[in-house]
Amino acid sequence: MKLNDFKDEVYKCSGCGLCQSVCPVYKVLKKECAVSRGKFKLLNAIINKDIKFSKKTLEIMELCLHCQACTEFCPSGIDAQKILETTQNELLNCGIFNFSKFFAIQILTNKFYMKMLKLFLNILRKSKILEIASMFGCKKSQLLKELLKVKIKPIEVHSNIKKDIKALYFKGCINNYVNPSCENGVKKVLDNTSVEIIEADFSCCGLPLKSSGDFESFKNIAKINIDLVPDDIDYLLFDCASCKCTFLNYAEFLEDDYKEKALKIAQKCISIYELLEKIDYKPKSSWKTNNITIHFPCHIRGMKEKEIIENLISKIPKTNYLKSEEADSCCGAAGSFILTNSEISKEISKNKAQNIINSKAEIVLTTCPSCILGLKQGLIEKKSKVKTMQLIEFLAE
Amino acid sequence: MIKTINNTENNLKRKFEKILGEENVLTSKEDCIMYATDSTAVSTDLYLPDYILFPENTEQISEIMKIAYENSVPVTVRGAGTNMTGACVPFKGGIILSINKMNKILDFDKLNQTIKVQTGVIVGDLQNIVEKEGLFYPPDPSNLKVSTIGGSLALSSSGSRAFKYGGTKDYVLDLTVVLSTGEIIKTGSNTIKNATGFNLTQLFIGSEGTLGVITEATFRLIPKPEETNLILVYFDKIENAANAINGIILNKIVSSVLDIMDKVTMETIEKFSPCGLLTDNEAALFIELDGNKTVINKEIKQIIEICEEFNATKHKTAKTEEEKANLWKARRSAFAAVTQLRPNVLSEDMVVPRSKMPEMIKKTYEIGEKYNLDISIVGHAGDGNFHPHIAFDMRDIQETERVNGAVKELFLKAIELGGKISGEHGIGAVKAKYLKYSVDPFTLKYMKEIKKLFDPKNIMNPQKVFDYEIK
Repeated sequence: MKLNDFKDEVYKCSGCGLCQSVCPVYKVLKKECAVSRGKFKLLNAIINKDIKFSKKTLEIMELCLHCQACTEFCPSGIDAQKILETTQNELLNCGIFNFSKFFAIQILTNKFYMKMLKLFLNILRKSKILEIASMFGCKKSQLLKELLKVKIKPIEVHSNIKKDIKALYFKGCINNYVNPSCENGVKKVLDNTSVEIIEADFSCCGLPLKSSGDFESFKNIAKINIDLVPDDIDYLLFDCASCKCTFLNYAEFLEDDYKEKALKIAQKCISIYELLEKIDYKPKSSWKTNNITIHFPCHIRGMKEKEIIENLISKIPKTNYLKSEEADSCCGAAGSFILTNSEISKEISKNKAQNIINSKAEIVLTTCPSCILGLKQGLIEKKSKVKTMQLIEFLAE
Repeated sequence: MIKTINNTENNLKRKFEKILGEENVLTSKEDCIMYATDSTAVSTDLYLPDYILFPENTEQISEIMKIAYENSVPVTVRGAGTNMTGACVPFKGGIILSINKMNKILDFDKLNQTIKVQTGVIVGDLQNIVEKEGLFYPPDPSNLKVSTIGGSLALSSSGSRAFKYGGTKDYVLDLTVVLSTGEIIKTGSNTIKNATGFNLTQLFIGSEGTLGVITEATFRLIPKPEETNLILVYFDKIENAANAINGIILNKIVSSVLDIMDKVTMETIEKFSPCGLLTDNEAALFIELDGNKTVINKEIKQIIEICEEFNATKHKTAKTEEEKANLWKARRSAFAAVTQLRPNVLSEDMVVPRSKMPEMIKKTYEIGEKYNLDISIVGHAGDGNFHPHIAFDMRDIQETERVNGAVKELFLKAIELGGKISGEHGIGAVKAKYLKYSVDPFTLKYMKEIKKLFDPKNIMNPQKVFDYEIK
């Protein structure tokens, strides 16, 4: 797809400007370049050849969390996400790209570099650098320290229950390289069920490549991942909403055999929470009463998963679910956004944190490992004591 | 096509940056394109501003105006850019003065029931803040989730509740205004009563940024109604619905909202955000009642009886808060939903004595047929203000001409029925050439004299309101 193919779609923007009410970036920036209305006006001028692509175009396109809030809301029904990704793809083909971001994404999507990164993080974890830096008030070090805090060892589980559901587990980068708390949760919770977990040496799902418009690399990584999925599994299991969502998108970018395979796999994709509902999982009572709230990741927007999660939580004994305002608005991390637009990201996270604090919950749960980053960022800025946790970790406790 | 009138020869960028800081001054071509239009389909050409400025207080605006005045640079004030008349389009280039960062609540006085705000505050936010304290700010333009107080004041907007509660103008007590010279004036008083000198406050309301920049305003608030309820009544003929409105009013029932929606509007809303509207009917009345619970229940019964006399087919009362919110969401997205039909939508805004509503509605459909256009109707039937939505494609020159022809006929009909060409959207750019039909020559002459007095260099939102040629 080319930007020109979206000519009518872009022109369809009536300029009603109601996207200002849902865009987290606009709420911080208060400028037209944040919302899709502004972006569409610019793209319309580009399509009409009134102005050419430039570095500035890229900067404006990057002012987006890809949270899909405007796409879901748009009265004219315009798919902003698709248009922005296509634009970035075209910018990349014109040789206009953000070098440091491009470099970071290449590392993220390369297994060898990521293994090196893991070693580096381990050294960081054992040294006292982060602790000392955060004592001196460096909030970034504090954030990194919080992220690396959890014990590193993946657990081993062996149960004697008969396993008749085969689930291939897509672990995702955070489990593989930062810390496996989610993985441990998944394994612990599924230990006493009929689900057998199978593992494979997956790459990154490719989402960072897709969002930054590097469609060629995205296709390659999609193919590698597709080849790792055997036919005889019942499910492809995810603990991360973003990774699952990306797998569902594979077919759209591929052709022929791979497209067919991708479509087949898409039918088997399941989040851990959907799976728990299917096998009628009963959460155990926790050891003390908890007041919790939820942050819904952007990647479950418009899906049934939201209900499933709320339903699951209502079944946990001794747990009060306190609803927080704008529970489904973006946490501010949004992949590389936290790096490319760190100041805006911080403000968005602070807004998010304020809503969580207002809910009076002691723990905020979510279902996407990368959201933890945004949630922690905001809570640290607000000097709040609210704990962040994956729902699956909470269930496993 | 891009049309630029360059006002940058003196390169004022540095000066503005000194006042506002670098991040609050935008000049790139990309940014200028994004601020060349608002939500009105005015023209396929783009008129670019030269500077987009984000001041945070009255003093900064005064400094900016001094520079603009000295250099004769046009200034267009912009809130959320959600008006329906092209009021924020900078035809002469110059400065777009965004008030979006002027969003502080300056004083919320619960004892005196007043609130003083900077004019970049969003209407919906203001309502939420006062409602938490049991108070109420009734004006409710349909885009209140994004639109600013400043825009509301400048365009004298109101909304569905105007039938019972009046519009923005009925709640303003005082204003702080920066004039084109940079002078700061304060109109009115924060007291409920005030008979001290000329009432300049009302002069600035509806002045569309052509007389000065409204930077601060104090509003009076009223106690929040104890209870509200919503009822939808369907009719198989739109005339019946229009007549039922008069029936309700003759029975002295004053609902907080009395809106009418036609079939096309309902169908489009259903397509965009399904909420169970019965689209096999030709029209629906959207009625909100507020006040004492027992009275509301009694009035609902009465309304249903009256509507049945006028052959209402079905009615539905919202039972839960969620149902209410859902219906309101549908009602408020009526304009945006119509954009699903065609790329551009013109939302017109005539107002007639409400007894003439049935005739005006009938004529609107006739005009639509004559010019072969998609016209759907949403209206605040209670106050005789109604919005024909014309969906079209501005790139189609012939169709656009037909739209212009239809609009002119609609206006002339409204005037013939004793009405005006705008009830709550203002005149802006698109209606400027019709103002002379709706305001007599002597009145118009004094309006222009007032404009000259406040803005001798004609730098405040030029080419708006008055009869200038717009290409």
